[in-house]
Amino acid sequence: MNTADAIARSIEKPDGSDDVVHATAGPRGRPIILLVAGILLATASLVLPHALAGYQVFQLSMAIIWALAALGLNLLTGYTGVVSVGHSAFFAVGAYTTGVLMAVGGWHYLPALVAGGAASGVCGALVGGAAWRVRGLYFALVTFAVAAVVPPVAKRIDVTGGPQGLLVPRVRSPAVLGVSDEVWIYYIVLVVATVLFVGARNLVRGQTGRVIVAVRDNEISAAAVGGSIGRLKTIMFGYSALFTGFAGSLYALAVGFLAPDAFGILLGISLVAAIVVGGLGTLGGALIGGFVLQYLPFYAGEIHRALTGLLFGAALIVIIMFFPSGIMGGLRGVFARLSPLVLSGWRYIEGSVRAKS
Amino acid sequence: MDVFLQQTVDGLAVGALYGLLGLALVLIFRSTGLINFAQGEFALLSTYLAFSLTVAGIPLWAAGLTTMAIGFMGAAIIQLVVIRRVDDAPHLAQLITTLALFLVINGFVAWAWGFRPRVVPSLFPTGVIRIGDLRFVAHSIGTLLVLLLVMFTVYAIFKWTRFGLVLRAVSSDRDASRLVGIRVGPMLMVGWGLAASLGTVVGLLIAPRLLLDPTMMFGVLVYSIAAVALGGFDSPGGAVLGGLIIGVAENLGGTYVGWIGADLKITVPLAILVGVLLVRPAGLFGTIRQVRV
Repeated sequence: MNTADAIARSIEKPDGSDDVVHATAGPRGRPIILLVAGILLATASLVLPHALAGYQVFQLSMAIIWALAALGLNLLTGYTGVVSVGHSAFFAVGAYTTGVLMAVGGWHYLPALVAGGAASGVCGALVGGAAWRVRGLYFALVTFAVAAVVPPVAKRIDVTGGPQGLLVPRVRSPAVLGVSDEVWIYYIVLVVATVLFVGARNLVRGQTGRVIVAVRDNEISAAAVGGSIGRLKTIMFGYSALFTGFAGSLYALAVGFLAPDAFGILLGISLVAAIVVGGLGTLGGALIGGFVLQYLPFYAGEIHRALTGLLFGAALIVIIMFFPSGIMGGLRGVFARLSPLVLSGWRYIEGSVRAKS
Repeated sequence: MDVFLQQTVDGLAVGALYGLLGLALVLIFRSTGLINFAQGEFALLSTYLAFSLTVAGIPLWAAGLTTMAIGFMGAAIIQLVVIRRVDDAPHLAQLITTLALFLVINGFVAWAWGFRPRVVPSLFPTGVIRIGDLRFVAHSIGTLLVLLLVMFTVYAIFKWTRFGLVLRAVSSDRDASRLVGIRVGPMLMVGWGLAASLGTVVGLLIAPRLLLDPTMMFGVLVYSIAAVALGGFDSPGGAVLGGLIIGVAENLGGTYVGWIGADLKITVPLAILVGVLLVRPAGLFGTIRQVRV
């Protein structure tokens, strides 16, 4: 037995409750349903943009981008129990790396995209290397301060466009395909997000994921039985920043303009809100959170621009109090309760059909 | 030399404000082990209320006192309705709850008053005070005096009144306090109320320096957090001293270190915060805690 298994097995959940997060043992019993759902989803997401207006395609891309950013944070918070209020900073690193390489360096958008994600991932690993010395609450404080520092720094540096912001060259769709630029960007976003979501799934289902959950549930015990907490958190931090950084890079492509104030504390807190509302420590939760993050301001903003924060905060309080496992947990609960019902209903119908024949 | 002294006094005045908001953070941290991320937004809301009262014709000092009372009650109610619900929840949930309050209050302020920056008048006469050859801005001197008064009052309450004794008991050991017959719940409400009142003072005194807009307190909270980290999370005196140190460091750094200037001052508290947490996480005067497995 290797160390990872030893740690994963030696630690019980401290409160003995049924944990809201089932990171290690996903539902494996419904492969066909999942496959069918997956194919439907894939078809829908490929066909959908052709049925929508340009700005709706843009919104859809943005929702996926926020989901990816939330996924990065969820890997950290949901799986290691560390809250970062400053993931907006990694988002900014990704966005500005891509934006500056394209606008100033004249790079093609694809290498710039990869460079953005990679730069953020490296930053994350560096921060993670130091951050694991600082535990829990203190860490949240540092990230809060980092989030507050990003906009003034971005305004000060010339290469990021100063206070005026940075105009990123437009991404043009290849003429061969005959699709609009929005749809082309949507496909880029979709492909990158799909690859990263699958990567995240493999990460948390694998050995690293199990050890990480052990660390989250009881860091001191995990350290006591020989886990290298520092190395693990550094790795996890790197991945987390990589994902959120890629989201930032895609943001630069999709929006085409980087304003320093867009990467401040409110974005950082909104990302935390998104993963809690969606469901902590679940990949689906990040997806839901991303869509909430995109569409809530859109609809609430029709009434008043500031209503978003108010609604989001209120939703967050309600969720923390009554549905601590978020929308994803709620869905799982509904599914768990409904599936026996559906099953028994099906048996009943089956039975009555047989009785008649 | 003149510039140095003036910048130092100015730094002390701003630093005292950071320290006072830090004191509010420490009050809550000591009783609940929680850093209230919404503390700055509480202050923001009461400052806006005071601003509206002055627009309605009420003198600023009266508006300030009124909103201190309103802030006290508002925070006590929030403690009762929201915070108490997550009292036994994991730290993560509590932390997120304060972030949620942050979003709610910030959103409410922006919704009610808009994003336009407002000019808040100073409680003190404009102009300068001359001491020998040195000239100090009256607002800075006034701020320092008010803060001395407030800190003395807080100290007196905690040190010399029975009520303060009870508050200290609750913050040092909640379960034991309950056993000796203290009603812990109302005391926690009072603690939150007091913290919010302190925040109101900070908001009113800092608004004339900055402009009152929904993002005004973001930076101030960062400075206060750094002050608390420097002084030690459970040390009221440390928070105030930490605030003063950071205020002076920020002002002198902004004046003498060329690349910092006015707009990168906010990197100073970040550097201090990170430095303290890496070198001595308990801060200068904090208690070092050990955890048993």
